Amino acid sequence: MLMHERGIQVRILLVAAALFFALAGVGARLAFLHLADHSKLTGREYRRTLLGLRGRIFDCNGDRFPMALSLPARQFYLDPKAVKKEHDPRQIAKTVAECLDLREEDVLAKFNQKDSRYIKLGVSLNDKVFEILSDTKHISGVGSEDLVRRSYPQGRRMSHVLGFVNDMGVGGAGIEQQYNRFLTGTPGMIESELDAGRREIWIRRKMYVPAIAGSDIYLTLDHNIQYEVELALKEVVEKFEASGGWAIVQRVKTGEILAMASYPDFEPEQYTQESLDVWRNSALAIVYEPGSIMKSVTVAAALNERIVTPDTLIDAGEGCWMYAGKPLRDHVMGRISVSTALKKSSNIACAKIGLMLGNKRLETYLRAFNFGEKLGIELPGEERGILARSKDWDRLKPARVPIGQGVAVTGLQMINAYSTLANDGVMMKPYLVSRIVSSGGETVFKTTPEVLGRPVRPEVARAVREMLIGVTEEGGTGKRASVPGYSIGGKTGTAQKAVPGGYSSTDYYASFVGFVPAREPVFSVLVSVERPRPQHTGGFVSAPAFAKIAAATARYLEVPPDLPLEEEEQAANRP
Amino acid sequence: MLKRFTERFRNLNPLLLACMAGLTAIGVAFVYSSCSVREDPDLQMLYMRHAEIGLLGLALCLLAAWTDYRPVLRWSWLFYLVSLVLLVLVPLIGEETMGAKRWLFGIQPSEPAKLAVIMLLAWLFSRPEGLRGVWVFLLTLVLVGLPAVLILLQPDLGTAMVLAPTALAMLFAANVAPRLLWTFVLAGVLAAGTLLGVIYAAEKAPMPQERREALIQATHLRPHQVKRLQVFLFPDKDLHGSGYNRRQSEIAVGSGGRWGKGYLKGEQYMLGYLPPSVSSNDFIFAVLAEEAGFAGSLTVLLLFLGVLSSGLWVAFRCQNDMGRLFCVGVVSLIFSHMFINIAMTIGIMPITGLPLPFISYGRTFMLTMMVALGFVQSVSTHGREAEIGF
Repeated sequence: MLMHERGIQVRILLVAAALFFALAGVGARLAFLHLADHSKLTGREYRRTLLGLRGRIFDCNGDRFPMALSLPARQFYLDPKAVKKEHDPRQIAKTVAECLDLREEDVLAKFNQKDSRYIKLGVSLNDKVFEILSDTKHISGVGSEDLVRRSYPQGRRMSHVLGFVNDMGVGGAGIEQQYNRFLTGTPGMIESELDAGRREIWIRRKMYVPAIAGSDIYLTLDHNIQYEVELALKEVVEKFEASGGWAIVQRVKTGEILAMASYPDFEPEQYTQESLDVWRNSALAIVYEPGSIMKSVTVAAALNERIVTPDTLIDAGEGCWMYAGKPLRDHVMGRISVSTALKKSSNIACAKIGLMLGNKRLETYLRAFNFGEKLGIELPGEERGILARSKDWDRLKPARVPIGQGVAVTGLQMINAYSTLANDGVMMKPYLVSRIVSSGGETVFKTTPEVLGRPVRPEVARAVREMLIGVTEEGGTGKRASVPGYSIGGKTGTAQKAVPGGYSSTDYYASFVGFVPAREPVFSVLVSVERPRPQHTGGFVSAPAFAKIAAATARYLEVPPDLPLEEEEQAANRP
Repeated sequence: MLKRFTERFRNLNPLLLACMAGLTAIGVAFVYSSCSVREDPDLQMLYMRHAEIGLLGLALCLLAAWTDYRPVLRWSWLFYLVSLVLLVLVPLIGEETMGAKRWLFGIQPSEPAKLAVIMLLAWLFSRPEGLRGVWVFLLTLVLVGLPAVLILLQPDLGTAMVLAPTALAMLFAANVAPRLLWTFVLAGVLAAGTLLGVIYAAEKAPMPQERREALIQATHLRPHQVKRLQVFLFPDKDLHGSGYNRRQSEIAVGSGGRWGKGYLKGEQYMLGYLPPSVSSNDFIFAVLAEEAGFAGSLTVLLLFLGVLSSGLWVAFRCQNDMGRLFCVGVVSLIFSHMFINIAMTIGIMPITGLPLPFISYGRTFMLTMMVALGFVQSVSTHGREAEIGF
């Protein structure tokens, strides 16, 4: 019995020893954890960059009509692992689909992607949506984060002028690109700590630098005129199955651009859906041989040099004139005055006027009208055109440059030349940004009209304007450009498209450029259509579009009509 | 009469009582702390439930201490049978919470079942006619295995698991079939080692993915159990998934430092890093270690040392085997809970959901532990009466 007693007591002591040994082990580990330096065991730093909203773009009507603005939005994403067991994924998917305008099946499918914890669902600007999807009682697994969305409230309007902003928030075309530095906001910053729900702990906030929004840009463009221009341009391009077109409206006194459009256009918010060609602002980036619209410049140069007067007679011959071994065809025959040459767009007569000027003087005048040079408008991608030095001209060019061949221009250069004639020979610098205002309300920059030069005397400009009125009158090539109630001065132009090795026999540029009203011009308009079919003349294709734009713009700008009412009625009744 | 009444308390073990009361008080304090950040007012008041059950437990403890344990233990087979019936009823009419059926009318039958097993084994091993041979060993396996399997099915791996060291300690103390026992222990250690080895190999050895999966399949463990073992072996493996609690509780302990961050100033649970669902029960030691530091955790460890050593002292001083073995069983059970709980909190054992005696919130468990210690006190007061008989 005693042996047994001793035995069990020894075993109890052994059990005790084992327990104390294990306890000592726990104690040692505790000492290690508690007493070692674990201050670095955090990983809860919270750094957040506050997005500085990008500045807005307005048209000339000011704050009421933002053309582009940045809105704080929420990017919603799904973390399938965070969906609570008590929530039915189908119910969550249904709510998400309703809120973000998605298909329910698509959302539900994302719940099964268990390998990812960040699946993008969609973007919403609506606070209500954020409220609904943040309701933890019914929704789990749906998170959201800040996002700035560039919004263009008027859709495609002015797309080529405005440009677009890429995913990184950098402007990729148009004003957005050119003024990216002004528009871009200054980001702010928060440095703080996070709790386990990945929410910031406010009392632990170490640093807070508020973001500063970018500057606002006010354009000279007017979205009302722009609307009419885009509508007319779209109509003419579609009607004649053209590959594209561009149109500009410019105020002649200041040089400011009132409207600038290219077609086809694009949605700036979905710019990736269109190709690079569509993003291009054709009005200043396409270089083309202008054709007959150049004749006005040639005639103005000759008048300025006093080589001819409007009444000087020039022999247009019998419809074909051999020069430098190549025939130059014409539909005007006999001896005609300079005025008639311009009104009826005589190739031979205008070529001869150019020859009278001589290569050097012709080039000087073209350069004085800024051909071959950039005008420096505040948009990326402006082309300089092609104007070779006169000493490099071949034998044919002296007879072709005066009628707009062998020289290539941009639409902007062309309208600026006509605005110069309309502005009594004073060439203004075209511009479309009127002012830049910082988010604090301070005007950072304000454009003042700038004179680029005076290529011709005022009376010469007036004389050319008188001649150009004839173009839109009975017997002129551009009578479809006439607008009831207003005198219109302008010029048609039909140019064969240059292709490698010569000229295309099927592809043309059909243009009409002019100013309204012709005697006291307020604004000028250019319409160019690329590759119209089956008709291809400027008088047939572009002149009606010009008339629509001119009529709408004149009414909108409240330009007083300068023609008597009877004539207006007559004009309206004209077949 | 009154003297007869108090006479029975004369030999109460004061250290055991004091340590138990001390741990319960600490429990109330830290259940309050860990639930103070909960939004639900009922949960905020959890510490009151803990205190109430602590007082009830103390009363039952004293009642058990006053009762002579010997006639009670002789009826242990009845308690055992009732426990088995309750355990069988749990899957049939029990309440399901978080994927497990453990509750029956608000109590967890698995907790009193542990006490019933200890009582039954103490009674079984101490019967004079009970030959402490191979057959008793095998019978023990069956008697422990039945409730263990039922608990395992709930599923509650931790509670089922603590029965093993408890039964082994009692078998060892009673000297039942020593060779077989040691063989059994060795086999168990080898099995656990092999399991960990397989998990380790499946992670580290160069082999195609299918073979890794096949290896893990061969262990026949549930996916979450495999993950817990993986996290134990490779703590940095899945810090935002299954390794999260372990890492966060380690951070809590580590950031406590020497003296802690101060009562009610623990950040781990307050900021939600330690999930609120575990901070008041299985991971309460992390809350305590963070707020009270090394000083606090050492105090708790010493209090447990007090409970365990005084329990074993009672066993040592007891004059009959039934009392001795019962005490060894209860001490082993409390030790197993304490060790596994703290060890998983500080990352030296895989995570298993086991409460920390007297401190974690858990009412059935608390009552069971206090009644068990009450009977240990009863052994202390009544166990030496045999001395008088000599």
